[in-house]
Order: sequence, then C-alpha cells, then structure tokens
Amino acid sequence: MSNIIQALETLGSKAMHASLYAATIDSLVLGREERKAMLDRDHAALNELMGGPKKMVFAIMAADEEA
Amino acid sequence: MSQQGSLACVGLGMMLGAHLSPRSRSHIEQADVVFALVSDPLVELWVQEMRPDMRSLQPFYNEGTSRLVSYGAMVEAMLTDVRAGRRVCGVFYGHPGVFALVPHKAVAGARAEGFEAVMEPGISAEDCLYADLGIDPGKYGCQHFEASQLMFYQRRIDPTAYLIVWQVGMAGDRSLARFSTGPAYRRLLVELLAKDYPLAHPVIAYEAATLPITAPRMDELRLSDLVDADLRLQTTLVFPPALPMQRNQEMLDRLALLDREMEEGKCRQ
Repeated sequence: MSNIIQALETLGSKAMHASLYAATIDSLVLGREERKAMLDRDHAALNELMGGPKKMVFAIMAADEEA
Repeated sequence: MSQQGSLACVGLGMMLGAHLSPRSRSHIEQADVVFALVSDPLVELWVQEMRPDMRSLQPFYNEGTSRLVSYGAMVEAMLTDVRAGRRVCGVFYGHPGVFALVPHKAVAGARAEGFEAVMEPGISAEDCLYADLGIDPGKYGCQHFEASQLMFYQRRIDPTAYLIVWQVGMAGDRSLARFSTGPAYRRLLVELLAKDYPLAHPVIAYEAATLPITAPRMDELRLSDLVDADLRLQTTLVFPPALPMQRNQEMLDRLALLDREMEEGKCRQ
C-alpha cells in the first residue's frame, strides 16, 4: 500500500485529538513532500503526489427518471 | 457445476479509513469482481489498494450524454459479470441506497433475474451532516429533496421543518447531461424557495469531509446568496426551519377525548 493511502487510512481509523495531529504525522512513514502535504492538510497536493484524477463525477441520482 | 453469480452493493462511507464496515470490507475482499464509484480520487486509490483489479465506473460518465444512459450502462456492466457466475461487488461512496439510483437498479435487476443480491449500508453524507451541524432530524422533522426534482414537480415544502436540498450544483438540469448548471438556473431555484423562506433566511452549504485531514464545509449563507455562491456537485443545502411548529389543537382535543373514554372504559382499544 502506498505511504499516503496507508497514512490516510491510519488517520481515518484513529480517534485523535487535534493537538496530536502533528505528532501523529511525524510517527508515520512518509516522504518529505508527503509529510508537508499532510501537515498542511493539502488535499490537492496529496492527490497530485498520488497522480489521482483532478475531476471526479459521482452523481448517481436522476431527478427525473422519465426524462 | 458453475458458480451462481451474486451481487453486493456496499457503502464505503464518506471518509477514507473512517467509515467502512467490516462486512462491507469483507465483500470487497472476497468478490471476484469489484466495481467502484466514489467521490474523491484518493478514496478511489484506497479502493484500488484493497483491490488492484478494481474497475472504476468513472469512464461511464460522458458530459453531453444523459446520465440515465450512463447509469444503465453501469448497471449492465455489473449484471454482465453476475450472469457470468461471478461474485460482484459494487462499491459506492456514502450509503449505496441514499440518493443513488445505480445500486438500487443493480440490486433489483439481479434479483429479478434470480440472482442473490444484497445492499450493505454505509455512512452517508446525510449522517455526517447531522453530526457536523448538530442537527437532529427528529426535532422539527426534516424534508429531503433532490434540487432539480424540487424544481420539476409540485412539491409542498414545510418551513417548520428542516429542508435539505441535494445535488444543488446541477439544479434545473433537464437534460441530465451536464455536471453543473449556473446562476441563471439557481436564480429560479431561489425564486421557488422564496415562496416559503425570506431571502435573508440562513442556509448552510454543506460538504462532508472525505479525508481525515480535511474539515467539512459548513458555510452559512443567505437564501439570496445562493445565485452566485460556489455550489458544487457535492454541495448540499440545509435550511433551518423558518417558522415555529403550530400545534394541531383539533387533533389534541380528539386525543384528550379518546384518553378520557379509555379511562372510563367506554372505548375498546
């Protein structure tokens, strides 16, 4: 698993006080840019580092099925 | 004997790593084929880490083509593998059955053809909204409408309850072929809502957090601000009640009468 995704999964599963955020990030295995993006809470930078698509479409509801 | 195909549509929840149930994860891990439709590129990569062979449903969208066509093709893609005897898992962000046509159609279609099909709930944007905004839908009642549907049909809004409007970024799109509409369309939505709410009425533009490093969007606006506001596909509008609830004295009187009759043994339960 990539470091970023693994770090996000770990963070997502932890009950963590906001004051412990930086220390928790420090404890994770991350590269310099990855760590900076995490500390900056920079979603776009993380996505860029992972090479994810810039745009996602995810509407799965139609207002009018008869349209 | 060939294996009987099956379908499980599961919810990932909204936040990466935080909301996936053990049961949904098990479906993802055990399926022969996994399809995914999620709202965040990093969340899609997370699913891909769980299942490197995951098939994204993103390529089925095509701006300019009715989403109903795309939705039909997504359902058919999943059912094709079910018919081929595979255990198929459809992974959807949030809850697969909340404001989500594709999982419902896929489960119904599989069952209609005699296959086993289940839906596993997930934590939806609605669930996150209640927690983040501190709203209890039971306090005053809560109405939910898809924005365009609210515009296309004669609906009765109850301004004494919460009103939640979904997919506002595409409000008024009759073609189902666009991924966003603009201020001119929203002006009509505001006009419609202004029949029940003052233009200065507060409204919250809400977006659930999809990563544990980000915060939800909870921007307080006024109804009149909506025309030019930054409203995206994932933005949901939350209207607090505009009026106090009115007691139904006639019903209360009838209930009091009934209570008395029950006490006096005049009435059978």
